[in-house]
Amino acid sequence: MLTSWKLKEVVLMSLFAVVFGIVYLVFVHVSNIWAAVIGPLAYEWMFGIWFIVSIICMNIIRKPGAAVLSESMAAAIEVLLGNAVGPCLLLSGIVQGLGAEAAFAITGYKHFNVAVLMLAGAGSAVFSFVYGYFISGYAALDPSFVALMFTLRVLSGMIIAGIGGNSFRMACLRRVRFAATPFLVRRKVMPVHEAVFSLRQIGFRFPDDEQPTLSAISFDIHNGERVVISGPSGCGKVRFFTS
Amino acid sequence: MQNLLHDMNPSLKFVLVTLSMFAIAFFFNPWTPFFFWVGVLLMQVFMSIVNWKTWSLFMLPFALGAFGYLWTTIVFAADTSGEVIWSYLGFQVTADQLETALSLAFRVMAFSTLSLMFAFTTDPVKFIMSLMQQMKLSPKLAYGVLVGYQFLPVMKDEFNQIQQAHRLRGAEVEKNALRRLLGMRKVLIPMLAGAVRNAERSAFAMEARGFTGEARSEYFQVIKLQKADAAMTAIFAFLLIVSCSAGFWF
Repeated sequence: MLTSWKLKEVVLMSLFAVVFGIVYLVFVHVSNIWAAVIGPLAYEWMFGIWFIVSIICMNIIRKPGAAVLSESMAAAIEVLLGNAVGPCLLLSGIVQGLGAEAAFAITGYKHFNVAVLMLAGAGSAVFSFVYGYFISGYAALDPSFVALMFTLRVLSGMIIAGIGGNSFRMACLRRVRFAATPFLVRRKVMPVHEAVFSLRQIGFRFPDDEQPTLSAISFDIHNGERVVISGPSGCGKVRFFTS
Repeated sequence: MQNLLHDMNPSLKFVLVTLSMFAIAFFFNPWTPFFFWVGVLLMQVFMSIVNWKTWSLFMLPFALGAFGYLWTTIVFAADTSGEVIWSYLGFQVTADQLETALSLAFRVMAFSTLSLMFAFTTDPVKFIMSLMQQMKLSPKLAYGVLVGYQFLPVMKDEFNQIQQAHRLRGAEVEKNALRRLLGMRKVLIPMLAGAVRNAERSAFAMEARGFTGEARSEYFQVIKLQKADAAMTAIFAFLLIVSCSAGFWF
């Protein structure tokens, strides 16, 4: 699965995981305090926050595994930070990520519109609820109360993670359009043969010299190409740039 | 003795901790999680060096959460049969209800103590290294996570910088805690944008230095499984057996 991944995508996922790992931690503490007052119901309506990284990463990277890996990474980062929830968090991270991943897999990793993202949020909610049902012993609670918890969690997953995740990506896209074009606008890459930067018959002569330093230079630089300009010092590399 | 938990193989510790959590999750009597909790606490006291002040600070939110569980389970219990032991304003609490409630509350305490034990005795970098060496985690992922981890201080600086920049442009500091929490969104987006740039740069730097992400046969920092690890496994197993059987006896 990982062979199709570029290193920069893995690192991007990891850095997003760090940012959201911290956000998650803040909300864990907030909701723990809440939970003392209103019980486990406190977690439910904000549960979608904990699914958001998988949806954002999948929406940006768009490769199988982006949801489950990013969510697990965020959990791993939380563990690395010395989060008190520790190892069981890693498991719940994997479970939540799998939920979102399942939704994307069903749609064949082809569509990333709001509806699919909301489905992914709901998927995370369902998976995490099943896991929570077992690990936190919801079986001991009144079924109608459990049903309320479940509904709240699914709604939260759909709204906070699905819609929120979408708006985060849009906002990011606006900001890093230049730096992150390969990440963010995958489908609109220009064909390789199309020149992006082209020069025709450029020349330059310093006023004191007889010979021109640069003469009759023409070339094209294509989209995504990397060009090295080399030569001994004084041959006109910088002059070439400035002209 | 005091170093036992710290020196343990991190992957093994992780596996043991998660396995015991799954085992305990099957029990709904108060004694199993209680005994397990006490056992973990004893391990923490005798086999590790912990700053107890920080420990209690971390434990506090979980204790509060456990309290929340206690009363919701009493109020919203699935099983309301059994002897009524306490009633107030037409609201009745049965012995069974109290028992499951105590069980779930102790479970929260046991799990959080266990997790704290892991968090307080494990070196993060060694944990990832061990996952890579013992659990065959892909180096691409492992080093990816480590890059993220090393970026933490940079992210902290960036966070401060963005906040200061906002303030320079006249953004007001929210006094309401909830509003401030929601206002995090405004800082988050530039941070994510920065993350995209940083990811590209650091991946490029790693590849330029020859990182391919392929599995290795040798490592600079070798993390082994030792004899002490076997002993620790035995201790965990013993604790699990004792606490699980306690559930049947009482």
